[in-house]
Amino acid sequence: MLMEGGQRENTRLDEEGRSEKVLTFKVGDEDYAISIEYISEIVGLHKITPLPDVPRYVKGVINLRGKIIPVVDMRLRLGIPEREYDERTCIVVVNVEGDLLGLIVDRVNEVTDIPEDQIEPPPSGEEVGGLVKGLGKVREEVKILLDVKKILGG
Amino acid sequence: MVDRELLEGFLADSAEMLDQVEPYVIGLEKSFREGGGVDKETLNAIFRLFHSLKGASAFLGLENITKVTHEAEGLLSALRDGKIRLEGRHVDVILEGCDFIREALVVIQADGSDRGLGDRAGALIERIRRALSEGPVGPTEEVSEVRSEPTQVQRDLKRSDIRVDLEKLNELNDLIGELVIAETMVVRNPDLRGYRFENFEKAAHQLHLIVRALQDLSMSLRMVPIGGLFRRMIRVVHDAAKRTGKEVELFIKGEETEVDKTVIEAIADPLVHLLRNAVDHGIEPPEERRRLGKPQKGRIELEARHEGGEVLIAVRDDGRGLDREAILVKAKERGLIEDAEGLPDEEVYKFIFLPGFSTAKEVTDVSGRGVGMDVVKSKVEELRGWVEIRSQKGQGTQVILHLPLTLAIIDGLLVEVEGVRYVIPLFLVRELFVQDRRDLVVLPDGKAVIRHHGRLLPVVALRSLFGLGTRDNKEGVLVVLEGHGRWVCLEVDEVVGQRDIVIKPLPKVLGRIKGVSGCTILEDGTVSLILDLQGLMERFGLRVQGEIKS
Repeated sequence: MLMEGGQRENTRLDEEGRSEKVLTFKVGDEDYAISIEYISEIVGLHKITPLPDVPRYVKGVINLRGKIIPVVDMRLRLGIPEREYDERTCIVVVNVEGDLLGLIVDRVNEVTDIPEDQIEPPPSGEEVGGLVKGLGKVREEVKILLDVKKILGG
Repeated sequence: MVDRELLEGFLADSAEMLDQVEPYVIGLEKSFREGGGVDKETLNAIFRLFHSLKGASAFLGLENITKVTHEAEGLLSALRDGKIRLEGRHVDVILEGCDFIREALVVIQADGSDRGLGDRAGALIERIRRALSEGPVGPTEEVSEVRSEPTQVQRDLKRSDIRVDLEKLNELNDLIGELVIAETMVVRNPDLRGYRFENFEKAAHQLHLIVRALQDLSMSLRMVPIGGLFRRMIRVVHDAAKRTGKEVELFIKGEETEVDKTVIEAIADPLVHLLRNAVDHGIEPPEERRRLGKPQKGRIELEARHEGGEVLIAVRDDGRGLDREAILVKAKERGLIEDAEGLPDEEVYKFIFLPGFSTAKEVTDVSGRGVGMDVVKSKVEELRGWVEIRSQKGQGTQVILHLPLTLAIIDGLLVEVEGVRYVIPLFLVRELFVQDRRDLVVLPDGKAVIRHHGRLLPVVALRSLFGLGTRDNKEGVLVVLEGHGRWVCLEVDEVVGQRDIVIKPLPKVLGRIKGVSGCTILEDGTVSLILDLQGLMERFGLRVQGEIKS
């Protein structure tokens, strides 16, 4: 919620050199990015209730102030070995067309701009079931842009 | 532009009026057909309703409705005053008028006006006038003053209520649901464990009473008598009978039964389908019935009643019943079954709930049994209910919808497996007991049974059903469950206790999870899954013989 105001202001600033505002976070060794427009909030770890019959990366559901939302372990989703959650583990809550979804990430980095001319399509186009939307470069670092719509059921 | 709020009020009122007027119109036709006198009071009631509609629509500038209702009023007053004699076609045009208004309401809701309906209104007015003028002129003595039930009409029209947006009502219910959860989160807060605060507990008790009362009240707000929906079915049966050339009478019982508004809305379509089915495939044509020695007029009963925490809605017909053989032939054809030897009838009938399963020799425009029975079933299951079907060849068919009383709250038994808590709806629980695992009889296929009170019950470990790891524990708690006519022992690690459970749906993106009907939030803020017996049994493969392959 906090980010909405900031986002609007920044979009105005960026009007000349067009860029995409993203939230970056770490999963395993890489930095990933999700367009800020999908981000609803970032919360600490909640107690997760496991569900039967769901893909392994769906860890279960949490109660977010009375709302029940599914959470996905991004390590498992991205095919990275699981590890114990620690104090930096966060749940990034995204809003995908009205449905809330929690993403468990190793740690959240920052909100940053990726100039559009610094975004390249993924090499083969088919990374992790279309999950990777592109590769963005920020200060010589590569951020892997994810398509949130593909996280569940991708 | 008319004020939107006024318009919404008009739309809702008018729809309700139509629901009331149709049974009268059909009653009119019935008494006419049976050669009895036409009840003046019924005519008056219809007249009054059309008159109110006319007034309201004129006020809102809805010209076409005004014109049509005006014309219908003319016809009705001619009938009432005995200027013309009632005939079938009069009833037909009045019903057409009802249809026109109903459709106009939809158009008005979208466009805010009925201006686009001029042509249709014109054509209808033409037909009404023709019906009026072609009628045999002259006084008739058939308009009688007897058997009037004016109180009924009066009661329906005089109301002291306000209209509330259903959206707001839902929001209120959600909030009260949150309040119930918040209350337990405070009163049973883990931080308080081990302490005793006398005053706090008194205050907490007071809070609990108020919350409970509020909850009951908010539930009752959502409950409405099912009569309105049932009355709409009179028309459905009337039309279906007319189209198929059958003679059918609908008997309605338990109109006053109160049901959650959401349930009523959700079962309207399935009910229409069941009734059409009953007319189309259940009731035989008059000549066939005569030949069979049955009363020429078919009988369909529509009944609602409360029973053991459920609402039962039954549709019964005295028609030809389901054809076990035909269903089996079809089932074999589709490779659903190989040998039907000894398969109980109720298992056979279940096939008709499969998508696209129809034994109807020809599909009529009214319905083809099987087309849509799957929809009936899935609609009812969405509401956490189930469908029971009974039939006797030559005697008739009975379809019973078992629905929960409310969609929001249940009494639940909280159980624990591997540190995860689950809710079992209390109405399913028959007994709890601790059992040494060694007393179980393990069958060659790995399934276990236990002899309990002389009954051999299958034992299902929730742990293995949900893939929660295997711990060969020496002792588990067995929860004896009964539902859908089946008994089963569910094995859990521990029974935590009983709770009022506010039901929440699982996120839609997760799809349907077999064995889970929803979830709730516990006092520590965690989510707990609510178990569903039917689904658990399916997971366990307890579909006994005649297993339906999907």
